[in-house]
Amino acid sequence: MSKLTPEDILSTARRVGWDISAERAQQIAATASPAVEKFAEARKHLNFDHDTLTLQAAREMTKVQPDGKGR
Amino acid sequence: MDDMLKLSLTDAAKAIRDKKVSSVELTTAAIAKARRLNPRYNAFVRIDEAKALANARACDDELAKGRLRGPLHGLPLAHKDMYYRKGEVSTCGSKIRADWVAPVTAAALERLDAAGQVQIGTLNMTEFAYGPTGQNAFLGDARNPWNPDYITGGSSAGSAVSVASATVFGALGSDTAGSVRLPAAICGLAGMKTTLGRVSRYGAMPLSGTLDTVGPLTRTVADNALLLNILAGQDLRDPHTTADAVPDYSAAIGQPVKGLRIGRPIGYFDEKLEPEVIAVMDAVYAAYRKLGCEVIDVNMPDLDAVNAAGMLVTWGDVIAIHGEWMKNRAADYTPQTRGRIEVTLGVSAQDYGDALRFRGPALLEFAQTVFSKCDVVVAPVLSYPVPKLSEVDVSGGPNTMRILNEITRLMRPVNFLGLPALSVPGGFTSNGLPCGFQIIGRPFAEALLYRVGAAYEKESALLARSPVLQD
Repeated sequence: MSKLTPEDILSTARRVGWDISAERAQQIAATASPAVEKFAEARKHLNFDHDTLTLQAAREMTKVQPDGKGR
Repeated sequence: MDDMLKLSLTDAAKAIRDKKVSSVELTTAAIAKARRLNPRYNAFVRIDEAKALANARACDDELAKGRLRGPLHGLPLAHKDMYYRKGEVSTCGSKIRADWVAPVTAAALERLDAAGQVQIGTLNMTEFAYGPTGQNAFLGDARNPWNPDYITGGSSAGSAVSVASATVFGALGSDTAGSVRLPAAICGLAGMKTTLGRVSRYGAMPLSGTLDTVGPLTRTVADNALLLNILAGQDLRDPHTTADAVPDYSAAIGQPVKGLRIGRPIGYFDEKLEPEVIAVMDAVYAAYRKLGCEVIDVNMPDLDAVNAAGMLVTWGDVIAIHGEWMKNRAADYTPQTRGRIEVTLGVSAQDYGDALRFRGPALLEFAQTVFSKCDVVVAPVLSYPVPKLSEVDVSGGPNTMRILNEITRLMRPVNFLGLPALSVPGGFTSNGLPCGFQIIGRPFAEALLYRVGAAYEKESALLARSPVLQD
């Protein structure tokens, strides 16, 4: 993944029709970058077959059991 | 009658059933207190006196004829101004919806109505529930009952203030990144962030449809369990809700905790903690040991990545929901909210999709590495003592996200993983403000969380303390 830039922010803003200044785009890129970069490391957990509804299956597999102890 | 308002929800419900007090008496007292305190604490957006008293009179008439609507018969409650009631204004804390009339009634309100509640009004909140401090430049800031110079936490700010000040017996909040747990912890209450799928979000304003959850704030853990008994269950209008049976949460209260394994997190939740918070948490772990629990150090997986993924998912949902208003009505947002929404421009479609794809693997890893070693995780809610309003910059400037991100850091991973977490008062810091902690469990482990939370509540005797209000 390439680094998030102020140009990326301005490009998206133009596409969605928001009024964002160049200075503000710089601030937004700086603010958003840490989360984007941190998450990039987590992509190693993903493979081609993961879909966007993976949580539901995981919730069923990990939910509390009827013994009441949560084990 | 003010003393009656200080009863627990459970005891007040019994007092009405036993005809020791009427619904009209309690509702009248609650409305009078709300009016008296609102100039100072700003908990209420609207007080619906005529409707509430008419409802209370109907409750009293029905009880006189031997009819009980349900476990909340005649009890005055109030709710965050984002739970829609058909035909009534729901501001969602924003000028944009200042006159917006809801077309439906929220599932949560339907259930509380059926159980007999008397809703006396709607409550202050962060604009569109997008902020953790409780401040709102449009409605005016809610103020902390323990000291009005300090933040209430948010976004369910009025919910926490109205319950902590003993104006109402309970209130609905919503939790997307801590918005139930933070105000509960900061105002000295019990607050449940429910498992995604436990309570219907139908008719509740969306912030992030992927992460939003509905949960109650109350003065006691038992009261909270009673409300969740009413709120929980499948609703086909919210496809996230599950058909799994709803346990009797109230039955968990008072059950022994001896032998339970309490996880003390090593990593993430123990980072950046200030000494006073560490001291409270050490006291909490000591209390659980005294109660016969085994306190086990448990290494956390990479929750910084989980937290980041939670942000990306939130941004993707927020940019979709607020896109048109940001295009056409950007000036009608408060600076804090507008500033936070602008940051959503940083998410790409690939980031959003991949973050959603990451949820399942992240939950499996958390369950395998954490819940294989302990029954629940006990962790702080906020890494530092409650700050003053004047110490929190929420003007929307460059520092805003840095400050807000630390306030929500210990919260958001729980939402991303879809887990339940109960915030419980843990103690006090030297500024006199409450310091709460959260008990995190497997999906649908709310009953266990109530059991563990109630045990500490009893052991700590913190319920004996209440805020001294300034009229």
